[in-house]
Amino acid sequence: MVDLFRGRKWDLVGYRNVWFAISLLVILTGLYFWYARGLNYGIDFTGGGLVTYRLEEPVPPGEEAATLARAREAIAEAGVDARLQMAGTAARKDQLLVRTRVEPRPARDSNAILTEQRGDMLPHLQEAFPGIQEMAGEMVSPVVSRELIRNALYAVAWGCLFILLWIRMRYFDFKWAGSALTALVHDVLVLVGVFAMTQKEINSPFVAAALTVVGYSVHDTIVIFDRIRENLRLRRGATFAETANISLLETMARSVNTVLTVLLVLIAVYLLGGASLRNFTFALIIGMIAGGYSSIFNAAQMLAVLKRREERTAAARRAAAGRPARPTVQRPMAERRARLAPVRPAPETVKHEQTEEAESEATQAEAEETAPAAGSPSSRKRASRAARKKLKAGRKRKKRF
Amino acid sequence: MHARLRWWLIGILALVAVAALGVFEPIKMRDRTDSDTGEIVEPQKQIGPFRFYKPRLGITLGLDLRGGSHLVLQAQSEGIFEFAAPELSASLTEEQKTELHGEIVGLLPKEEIGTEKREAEIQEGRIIVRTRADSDQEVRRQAEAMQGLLSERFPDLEPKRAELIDISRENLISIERILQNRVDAYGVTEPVIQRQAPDRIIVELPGVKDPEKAKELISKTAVLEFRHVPRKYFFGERRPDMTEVGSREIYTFRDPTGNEVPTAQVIDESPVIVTGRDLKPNSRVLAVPGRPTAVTFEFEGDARKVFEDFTRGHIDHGLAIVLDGQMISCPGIDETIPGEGIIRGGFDRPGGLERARDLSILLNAGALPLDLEYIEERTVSAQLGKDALIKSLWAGLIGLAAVLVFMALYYRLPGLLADLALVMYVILLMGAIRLVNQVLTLPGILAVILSIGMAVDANIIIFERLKEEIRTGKTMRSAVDAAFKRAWAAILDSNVCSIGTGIVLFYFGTGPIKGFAVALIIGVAVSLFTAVTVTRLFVNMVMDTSLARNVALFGVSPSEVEGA
Repeated sequence: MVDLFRGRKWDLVGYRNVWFAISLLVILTGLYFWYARGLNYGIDFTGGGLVTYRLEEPVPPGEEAATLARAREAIAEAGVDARLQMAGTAARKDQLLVRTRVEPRPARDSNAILTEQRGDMLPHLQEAFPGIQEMAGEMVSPVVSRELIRNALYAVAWGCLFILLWIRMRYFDFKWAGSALTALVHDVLVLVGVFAMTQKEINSPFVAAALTVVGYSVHDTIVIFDRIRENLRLRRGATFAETANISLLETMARSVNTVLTVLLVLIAVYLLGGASLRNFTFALIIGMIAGGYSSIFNAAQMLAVLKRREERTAAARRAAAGRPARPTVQRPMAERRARLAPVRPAPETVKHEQTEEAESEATQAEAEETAPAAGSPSSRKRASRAARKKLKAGRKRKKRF
Repeated sequence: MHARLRWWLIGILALVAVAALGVFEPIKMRDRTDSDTGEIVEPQKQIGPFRFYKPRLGITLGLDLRGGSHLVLQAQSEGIFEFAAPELSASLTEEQKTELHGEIVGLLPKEEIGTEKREAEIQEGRIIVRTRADSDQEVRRQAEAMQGLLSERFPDLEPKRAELIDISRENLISIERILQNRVDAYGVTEPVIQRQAPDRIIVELPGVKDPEKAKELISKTAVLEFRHVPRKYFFGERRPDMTEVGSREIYTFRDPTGNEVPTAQVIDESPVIVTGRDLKPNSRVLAVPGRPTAVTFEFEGDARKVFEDFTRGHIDHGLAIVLDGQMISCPGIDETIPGEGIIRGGFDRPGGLERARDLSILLNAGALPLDLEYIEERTVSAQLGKDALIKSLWAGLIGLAAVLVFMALYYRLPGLLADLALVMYVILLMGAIRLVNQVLTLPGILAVILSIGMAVDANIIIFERLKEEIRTGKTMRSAVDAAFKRAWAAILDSNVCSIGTGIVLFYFGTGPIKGFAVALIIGVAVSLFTAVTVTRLFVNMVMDTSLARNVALFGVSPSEVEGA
């Protein structure tokens, strides 16, 4: 199969404003829907009851509305105020979901009330739909739902905190951690926005999905950051933006493939799995897509923006101190593009069956190649020292299986 | 093949085999019990100590897959109020008292007090009111309201006490014990009853047939009664036979002709003398060496005199102590008991201490007027559960197949190797879940499936890296080494974050979400293991063969390799 991304010279970092704009657009749309329609909170967060009935005969696609109307009548007769929904697989809708509410204060006796309602509804429903059966029942008292909300918020907060600290620990400074965090926030906002738009139910599984997506998106971002970190060591002369871009291109294949494999399994579950998992799976699917997007198009770019400021102040300081300038961030677009192709060592010095010595030559040549504009001899020495260290480390590790 | 590689291969295959055995249990050394009925299943064949069974899924399934009810009960704290009412000092008849009860409750409407539960009790010169209250604040508010409402009818009313009775740890233990009692009587296999501080109890009833009835049975207020057993069943030497079953005592009564009489009938014919409401919840076990082990009890209020009078007139008769319709003890009356006494005699045989403790707890529990309220309930019918299980397993299999095909097509030879590793991963993952005895819920299955998709990621990182290393023109071996080495840093960091969020989810999540979190964490951990160990093993095995020379098999076209 063809490696689709090999050798492409896309400027992913340069067009960052485009990606940011797209992200912003999606998020704002989501927020608008949140504002306009609110979120469809499930009983885990509102308290109340949810009863799942199975109809004897599945309802053909056109007749859903009629069935719901009949059910609503039956329930109204029972004196219960509830919201109804049909569920099941796309082809076979045979489940009726009835959601009843309960007064949040006082939070007492809610179960007794809900149980009573349930008992009242059944005979009326049985009249309207002979053969209907109760399949599952859930009841959450407001006492519990308040706790669930609180726990959900804590969970997300702690999760993000942990990630922030971990990245800070493993990478150089808070700029990296902060950029990763913006990608995460983007993912969660997109997820919430989509749920506001589609009005799908938000329950405890939604929070679990959000956290899983957060963990996974950061996983993605870290792989890219790791490559940027490695390339920073190898290429001393390039600007951060250029290094970041190269790193993105190099890891592109992996990023896309991983999102693909995860989506493969998730879509299988979405289509074939039971109705109860569907919302959960949907959240994960949206989240993974958003996570993939944010890792490739947002995280590194955000970091580039932050680093750019750093480079600018460093260059200004350098100019003030009268030292020779390092390559600045201002480059004409054409020149930038030329430098964006992944660089590999010069072919003349490397053979297919090479010995260790030839290898060391190669890495040295590579190191020197990538520091063309480094004016001072000291930086070149630094580069070759780094290359030699790498080689030594590599030699030590050769003794494994 | 290198000797070392061979050992690694054997080791890993052995591990996978053990995992498979653990999960599917085709061969066991001990008996297998049916998960629904709890009975022992016959092996299909037995050779020495090895029993052969038909393979089944040995992992415990959660309620949402098995069917059953998950209930969370909260013990309600109450407010207790005492008012001095001099108008009531004259001794009143029972009828008058009952009338007054009704009147007082009528004077305290639900809207003013704020709770459904308002109970009044008249004692000499005092009115005692019990309500439901959650905080000291609420108790104060209720006290004020009561004061205002009652002082019209009782002008000389004086408040004496206003207290919040919280659920203490001992009380919660008693309640838990009493629930165990009831659930046992109900007959559900593998019920789970668990305290959740400070005032909650989780009850899980797998496979319960009538959840509504079970709920009713479990949550009703304990009824503890002290009944007088008729002479014909219990007098002096004529006593019921007592057998010990576990920590319980089973009594067999006989009528004068020697025929056995069902205990329920005996209870029916035994009138109630005093109830648990009159009992102080301070029963203890007295276990002093050299003296018989005994259980203490103490009545309060008017009941003390009633009990004293009763015992004075009925020496050598039987006193049946009945809790929720079950007879928990039936001692004989040795002497006049002035309101507080001990029960002894049956506790000195083996296991007696346990039974004494049990009785003591039950007495205390029966003395508790605490209400239990359901705050969470999730019931799933067995059919829905089975449905969900089958559907999700199929979905998982198809998802897995899709990933396997994709990997083979895109990454060629290493892809096939990764596929093999992935299949082993799934088996090891199930084995790990079985090992920690994690209950598998529906979200848990989703986590497993998700982990399959994510486990591949480590391999993808390694292989992409491998392609790059090959392109730089290194030898196969050094390319492999470099790829694994360099990829590890990225893999480790990123998976740590996944595990981190999993831990957070576990801590803050409930029930099925916890199951999801644990499965996810196990999934990531095992995937770390297989990616680096199993995949590496396979790749190194291939290195030894001639296949290694063909870079095309690794997805790299020879023209791309530097210096070829």
